[in-house]
Amino acid sequence: MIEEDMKQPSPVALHKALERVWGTPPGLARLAAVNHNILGKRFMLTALVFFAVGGLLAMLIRTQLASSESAFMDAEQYAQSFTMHGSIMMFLFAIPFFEGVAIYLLPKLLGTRDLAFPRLTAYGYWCYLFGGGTLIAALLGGVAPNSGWFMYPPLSSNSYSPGINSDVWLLAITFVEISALSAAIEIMVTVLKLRAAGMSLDKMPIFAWYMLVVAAMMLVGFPPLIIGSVLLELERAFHLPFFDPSRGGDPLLWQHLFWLFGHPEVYIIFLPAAGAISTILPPLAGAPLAGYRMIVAALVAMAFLSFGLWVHHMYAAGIPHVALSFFSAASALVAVPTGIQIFAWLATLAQGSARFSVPMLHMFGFLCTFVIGGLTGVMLAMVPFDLQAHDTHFVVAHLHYVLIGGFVFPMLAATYYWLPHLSGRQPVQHLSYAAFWMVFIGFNVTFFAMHLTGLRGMPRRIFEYPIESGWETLNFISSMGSFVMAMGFALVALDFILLFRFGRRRRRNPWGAGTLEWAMATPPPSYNFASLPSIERRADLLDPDRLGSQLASGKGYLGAPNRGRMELLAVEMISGNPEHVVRLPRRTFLPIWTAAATGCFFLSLLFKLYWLTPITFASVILLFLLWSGDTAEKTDVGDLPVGGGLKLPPHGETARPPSWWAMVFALAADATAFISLLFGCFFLWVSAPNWPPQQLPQVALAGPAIAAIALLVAAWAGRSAAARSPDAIGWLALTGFAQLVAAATLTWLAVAALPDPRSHAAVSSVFVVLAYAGLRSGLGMVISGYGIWRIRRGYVSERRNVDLRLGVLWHDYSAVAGLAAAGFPFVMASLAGELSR
Amino acid sequence: MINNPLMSIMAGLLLWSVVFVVLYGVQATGCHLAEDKVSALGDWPGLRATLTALFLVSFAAVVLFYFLARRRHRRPDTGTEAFRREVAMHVWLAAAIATPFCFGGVVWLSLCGT
Repeated sequence: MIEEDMKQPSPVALHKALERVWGTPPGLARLAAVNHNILGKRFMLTALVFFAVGGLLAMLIRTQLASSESAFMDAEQYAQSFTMHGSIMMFLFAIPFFEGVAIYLLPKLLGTRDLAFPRLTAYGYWCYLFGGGTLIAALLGGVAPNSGWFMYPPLSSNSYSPGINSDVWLLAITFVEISALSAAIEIMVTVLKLRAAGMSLDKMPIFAWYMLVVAAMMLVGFPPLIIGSVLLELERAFHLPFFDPSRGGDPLLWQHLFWLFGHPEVYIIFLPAAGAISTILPPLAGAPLAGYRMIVAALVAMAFLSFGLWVHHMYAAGIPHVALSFFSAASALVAVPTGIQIFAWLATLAQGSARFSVPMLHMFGFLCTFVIGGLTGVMLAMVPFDLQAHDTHFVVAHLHYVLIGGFVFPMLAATYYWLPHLSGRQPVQHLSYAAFWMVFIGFNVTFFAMHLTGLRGMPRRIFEYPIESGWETLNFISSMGSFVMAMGFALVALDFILLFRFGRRRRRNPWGAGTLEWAMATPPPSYNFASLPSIERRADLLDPDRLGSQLASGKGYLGAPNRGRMELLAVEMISGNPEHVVRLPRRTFLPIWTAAATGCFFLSLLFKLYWLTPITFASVILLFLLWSGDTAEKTDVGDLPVGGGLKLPPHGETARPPSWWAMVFALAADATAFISLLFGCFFLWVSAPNWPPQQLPQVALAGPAIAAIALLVAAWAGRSAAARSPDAIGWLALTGFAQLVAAATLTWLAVAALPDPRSHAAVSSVFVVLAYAGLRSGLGMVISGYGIWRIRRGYVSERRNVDLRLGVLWHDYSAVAGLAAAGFPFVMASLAGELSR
Repeated sequence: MINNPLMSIMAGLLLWSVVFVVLYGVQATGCHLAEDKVSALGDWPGLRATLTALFLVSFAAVVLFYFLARRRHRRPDTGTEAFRREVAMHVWLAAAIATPFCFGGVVWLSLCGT
């Protein structure tokens, strides 16, 4: 432990002092909460409410299909039900639930007090709630999305879905994805920078490795879907023909963009659950996790391979044989790293002496169902079999075995394991066993029967079937199973309520785990650790009981809250050596207001109130700028004592604070979106019918040249400003002016210099690429103006110039992406005009 | 070779991903440009030669890097460095297996036929 170099208060006094700084009072102030304990629980609880809604819709679906030619629902109601069931379960339950688990647990497992950007967590939560609420409101209003949860055009296009239904999906899901992207950035920065002192990469808890990989996958996986949604909404609202084959578009482009997201999404959902298993299995088995390093390698392999198999959802779409072989092979290959993890868990069980408990029971459920789902997955990866089973109930059965087996059972195991941590109480468990068996048996009866109806040729998404089809008995059995499963989930909910109401108070660490989340009181205080640990062993082989009492008495880093600020330690990301002190912002209503403004932006698009769109967009930017005031310093703080004789600078006075890394990751997400857009444009040239266009997307050289020069000037001036801070107002003014010129030129090129973008996909592609670059330059101008404001207010010095260095990242990236955009009209005109002939 | 441990851990499959994108892009673009020259079986010798050459070069590169990673892994070391080397070696092995398994089809499968 750390030798303290200042006078220590008693543990009780320390607790009270920290609670004053970190705590959130009840009442209206809860809406301003930014603490990860509150937000993590909020995410999980909201996700469970959405799970209940999605489950209710599933019951309606099964009621409809229980008998042939059922009159329970008509085709439209059925279409809305299955679309909303899939969308809710994927976007409003699975991802947000594990985000909630990660938000609640990660800081504790890493030995810190909060996530890197607490206000971003709060903003993400409100975006999720408002976006999800929009979908539910549409369902209640009878205008819910009805084109299936993957929204294939042309069914989702204006011609076949003229109402508001598809717009609700495209806009609300994009709104919710802001939450997912913000969580991805938050998790990556937290895992890489906010660990306990001494926690080098090889000592990280395995759950942190899982979440690091998952967050990186989200950062790369979600932008293609956002770009696809934007393009489809542009087609629906403004008739830009990206998916309309009569004008050079191609519906297959949507399938590529959607599944570029959609297949990694399966692993994005599975891996956090697997991470929970890898964390809770060792204490339950009484043995350390086997094959830690192999598991890390398997995770990396899964992350990459899962991006190389998106076309296995498109085997029936007419893809050349050799390309099918790439994706079929990758689909089969991804089973190997999955298998490595399963064998590592079995080896862990074999080494120890397993304790038969409720979490273990759910892990048994996971192993059985997930392995079956994995095997049918390998079957579906094979092209000849997939062509037979494509779009049948066999696929529905497979995906439920994978998702319920791979996510719901592990998450139930994790919930039962960590409920004593959340509540400070021990489960009553009279109901737990009955609930498990009802869910397990109900699940298998429901979905195993679907394999058989699928093999007998029953297509998915039909709302009725003829009596002579021979599917009725199996469907009836399936529906009965689903009701048993639903009762099982109701029992699980009742079990949780009983635990919180009647559970017995127990000592901390009931499982005898070796991870840091148990080195604190349960339920945890708002600050997690009264002082921050320094570790010398792998973070799942510790002694939290001994460590907990030492940390509570302040014998760690930052154990003296005499500065009255929410502080935690940032480390060098490889070695885990302490690097600087992160000073977090206080609770604020700004996240909820910003999310509300973001919601108004999306609603203005949904209801086609386009005059309101720029106003709401400007409001969002303005509100974000207001966030910056809280942590700003008007003077250099200098190195701060953190305990053990160690002094570290505050984050605002270091070269690469968390915000710098967040900007890097945000730009990586933007780059992925931009590359996805360029891929889409080239895809249309390669594959779409009705090319070349009658009018080429040609522009004169002068416009792109001016934009390119302006972008280069902006990057150069931005760098000069950072190098000369704080005397940089002139340079920043030049940066802003150059970005203004670039934005104006790119927008003019898109709006006035091109032929009508509605005429052909070649023109609309160039239009969107230019407009995207123009928007980025516009934001660059805002960032420059913000820098000037910060200097004028005295927030920037030679030491405190992180604002300007964030600007450098933005301007440099804008220059690279903007140059690509400025050259794009010539490339597209050349491809469309010359090479297509 | 690569100093950043996180990058060195990812490098093997990062290269595999680049090979994937290049081969898929060349195949699709080649089929588009060679529309008139493609045989009834969906073949065009020029495209097959290009894809086969790209595949063989990338396979050789991945295998070479795997053996380099394996040699580095055998050096005595402890802590984070040993961890990095071992994980990187496993990932390079995965890339060395995945490359021929996923892309070997360019040698004999129909290139443009659906």
